[in-house]
Amino acid sequence: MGRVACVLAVLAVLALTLAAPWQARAADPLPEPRGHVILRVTGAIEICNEGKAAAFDRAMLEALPQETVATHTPWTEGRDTYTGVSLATLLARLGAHGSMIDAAALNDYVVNIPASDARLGVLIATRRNGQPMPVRDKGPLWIIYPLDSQPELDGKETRAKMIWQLKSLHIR
Amino acid sequence: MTRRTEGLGRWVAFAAVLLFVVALIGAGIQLNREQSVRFRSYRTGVWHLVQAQVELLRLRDALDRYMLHRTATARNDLQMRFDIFWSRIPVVLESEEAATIRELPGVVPTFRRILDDLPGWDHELRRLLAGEDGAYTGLIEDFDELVAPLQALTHTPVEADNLGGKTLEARLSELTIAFGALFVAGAFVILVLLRQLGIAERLRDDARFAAAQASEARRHLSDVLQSVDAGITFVDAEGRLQLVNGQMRRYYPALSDRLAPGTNWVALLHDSVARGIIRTSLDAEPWLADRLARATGGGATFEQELADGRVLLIGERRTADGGLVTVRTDVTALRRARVALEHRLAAIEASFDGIAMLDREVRYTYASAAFARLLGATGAERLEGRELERSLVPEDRARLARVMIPEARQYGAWRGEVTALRADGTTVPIEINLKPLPDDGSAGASRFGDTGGFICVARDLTERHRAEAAREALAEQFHFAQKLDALGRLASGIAHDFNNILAAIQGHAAVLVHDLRPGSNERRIAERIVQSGERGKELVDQVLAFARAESVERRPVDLRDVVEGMRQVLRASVPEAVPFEVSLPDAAVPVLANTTQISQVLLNLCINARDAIEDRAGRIVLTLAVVPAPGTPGRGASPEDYAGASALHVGGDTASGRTVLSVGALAAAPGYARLAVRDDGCGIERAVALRMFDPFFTTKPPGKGTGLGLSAVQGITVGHGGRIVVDTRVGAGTTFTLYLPLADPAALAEPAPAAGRGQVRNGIIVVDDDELVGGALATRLERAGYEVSFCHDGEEALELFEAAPAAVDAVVTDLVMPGVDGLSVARRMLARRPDLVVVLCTGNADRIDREALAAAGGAIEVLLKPVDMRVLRRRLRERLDRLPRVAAE
Repeated sequence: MGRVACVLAVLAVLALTLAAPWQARAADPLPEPRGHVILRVTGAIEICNEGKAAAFDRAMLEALPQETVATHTPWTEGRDTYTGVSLATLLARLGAHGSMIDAAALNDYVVNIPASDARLGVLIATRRNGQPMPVRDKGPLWIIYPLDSQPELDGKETRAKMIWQLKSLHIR
Repeated sequence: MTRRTEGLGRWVAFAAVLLFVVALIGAGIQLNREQSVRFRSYRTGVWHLVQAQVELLRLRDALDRYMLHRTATARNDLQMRFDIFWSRIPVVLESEEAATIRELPGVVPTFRRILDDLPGWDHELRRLLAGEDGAYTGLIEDFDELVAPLQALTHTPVEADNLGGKTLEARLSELTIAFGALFVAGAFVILVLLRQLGIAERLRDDARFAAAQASEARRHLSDVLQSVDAGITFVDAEGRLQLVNGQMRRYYPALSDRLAPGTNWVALLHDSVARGIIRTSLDAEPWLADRLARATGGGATFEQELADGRVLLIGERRTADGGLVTVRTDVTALRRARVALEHRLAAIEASFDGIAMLDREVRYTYASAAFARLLGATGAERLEGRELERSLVPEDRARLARVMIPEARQYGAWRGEVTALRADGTTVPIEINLKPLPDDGSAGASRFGDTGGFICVARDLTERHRAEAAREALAEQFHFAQKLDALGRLASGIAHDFNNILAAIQGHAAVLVHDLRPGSNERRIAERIVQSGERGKELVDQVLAFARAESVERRPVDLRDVVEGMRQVLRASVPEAVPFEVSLPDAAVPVLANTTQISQVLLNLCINARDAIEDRAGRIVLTLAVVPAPGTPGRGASPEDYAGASALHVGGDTASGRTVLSVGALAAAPGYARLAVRDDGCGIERAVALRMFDPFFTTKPPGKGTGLGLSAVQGITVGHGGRIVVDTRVGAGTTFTLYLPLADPAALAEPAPAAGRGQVRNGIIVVDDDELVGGALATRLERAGYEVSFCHDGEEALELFEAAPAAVDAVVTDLVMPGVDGLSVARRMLARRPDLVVVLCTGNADRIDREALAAAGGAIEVLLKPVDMRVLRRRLRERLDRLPRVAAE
């Protein structure tokens, strides 16, 4: 009995330690965007700040845990460093629970991204080489797949999913 | 080409091939990649071109909308559309995806001009948004001006997209096909090259291997030739010895110096016969010619005898190139074995016993001549292949499978009698010995079990059966003789004593007859006594005749006289109604015989004939004839008559009731007297005939026959060295035929008549312990005119003799007496008077010690008791008449 209780206690502690930040963050209400909204997330999400949508300005996105991916792309010359929030972090922050994401660009180009791609380290880049990306240079947001660290990803499908001038995400 | 350069060439070829393949593969991969990249980049490039055009159009729309509704949204939208359009230009000019499209003519200059114009348009747009509407016109004109070339740029690839894409694809496919064809051609060339190289190498290897093998094969062949147990030579087409092995030299040690490659073969052959190595009756030249003739054909196999006794089997074969291979094998042992086998086969063939070999199915595989003869399978009738059981009568066929074969297998042999069925259907009793052979090893089981065949030895039992039958007949005859002997001893013992009594009665009765007055009653009585005594004596004589036939004395007589003398008596014994015929030859029939006994035989036979006829109307025929000895030319008698040496023989055939019986073995003689008595009576049944010579056997009612008649006839005949043949048929009659050896006719001469009776009175001493017998004898001798003194024993007689030896001329003494016996008396008297006539009387002649008789000296007469007075008188007369001194009266 004692041993079972001990194991259960350890498991409980572990669960709390690991789950607490998620739960805390998931439970955190999203602040209102104060600046120009550059990303709007809709669909199967739990955290919203604009009706059934979650609207983000640049500051809100950059307030989220930032990650960096260094890679080259078929549309740029040389290798660049991209910084932004990872898709996984964003989905977790919003308590998203879908399997497919419809990503749309400013020019209304839409592409379907499986939610499982979040595990590949997909980044919603806000900066290239530390500089914010203007619309004229594929900004403000660009979905970056780590093509250099995972060369097997490079291909027609991945290139299609690497949508720039990202405007919105719809989780379903 | 040396091996080194060969290897180098191979490696170079291999490297070239490898290089070609690698290059080809690399090229293929490169081509494929380029193809896909080019294709993809073309597509995406066109897409980027179209996007640029689309964004230009949207920008123009956004500009127009802003000019109509100067809202914040429209303002932001215009700003965003301009930014988006801007973002499209570097993509076309710089991105990897648009690389292909950049190659299209006009794309790069157009987009570079747009890129150059963008800052200007940005400036004008800021002015417009700042409220200077005049900027609009410049912008919209620039944009409209740009639409056409962009559209043109876009149209070319988009139109070509359907056509050009296909063209590109087709071109790529052609390229691919060409590449494939090149690859196949190159691969083919390489494969052919490799194959040629491989074949060349394999051929070289094969050649090397074949050479090595040939070398090894030559070595093996040499080893084989040297070690093989046969002499081998090879002579080439030129007649030179090319090859000769060691065994060949050992076969011909005397020729070993010449047995070397290069020797002229014909010269060698010549030497072999010239040196006397080969045993031949031919000279060297003819032998050589014969030997060479054998070798001229395709080949021959023959045996060669060497001078030292060895035999070689020579096999010669011509080779295709005219050479001659000769193989010699020593078959001396084989030849010896063959000869030994032939000898054994000859021994088997020579055996009187039939010998056959049978296979497991009990079929003949071999049958010796004797065997075939035994079964009558001669000539074309071969036994081989036929079953043994077909040689047996049906009863024995079942025995063969059920008894003979199983027992032969179980006990290692079966021996016994079977009846064989000969080829001609007759049967023959044979004894066979069936011996199983070891398993011959052939597979499968026969219906007689699964072991080997048999040896069958057969012997004809016909002779043995005949011999056994003869032996049985002899045994029967022996028993018959033994029975007669026993009866004879018994009878003679009785007869001896009985005779003494009879002699006394007769003697005294004779005295009475002599003394009594003739015609008186007393004298008639006395005469009856004498007659009865005579009949009693006859009976005793018959007993003695059958018992001791040889004891009677015989002398030469003419049988005609005997028959003639008995004629009246015989006639009287047969009823007058029965005709009695007597047939006598003209010439004398001299036979050494006892007249009394022959008379007795005749009387017995006639009485039997009379009894056989009884009341029938039959007749009796008595014939006397002389027949020659068997084997003498001209003899007319049938074999049954008197031929054959067997003592007792029974023949005839039971169905017709005829029985032919013969008794007695004929003594050798130049001829025989045949005395036959035939009647037409009832005949004799076989069972009776077989016993009719037995003493005391009779079929007559009591009182009528003694059962001794035919016994006496048989005894007398056999005693005379004769033979009786009885041929009888029931209801038809019987013939008794006697064969008696003929005597020398000269012996018939009668002795000179004696001197007149009574003229000489010789002194005789009669000695007998039996007063009756001796007294009667003395009385009768006195009557006969002799001076007789009777003594009761030997001592008395000797005293009397000693008193006056000269007065005694003869002594008649009984042999067996108490005290001094007759022989002693005779010996003592003879010692004194060697010329004394001595007569020994005995009831049994066998009791006389012949040696003692001879040792006594002088001539001792022996007479059997009861003494026949006529014989005694005749003997005395003969002897006394020859005495030198004649007693004077």
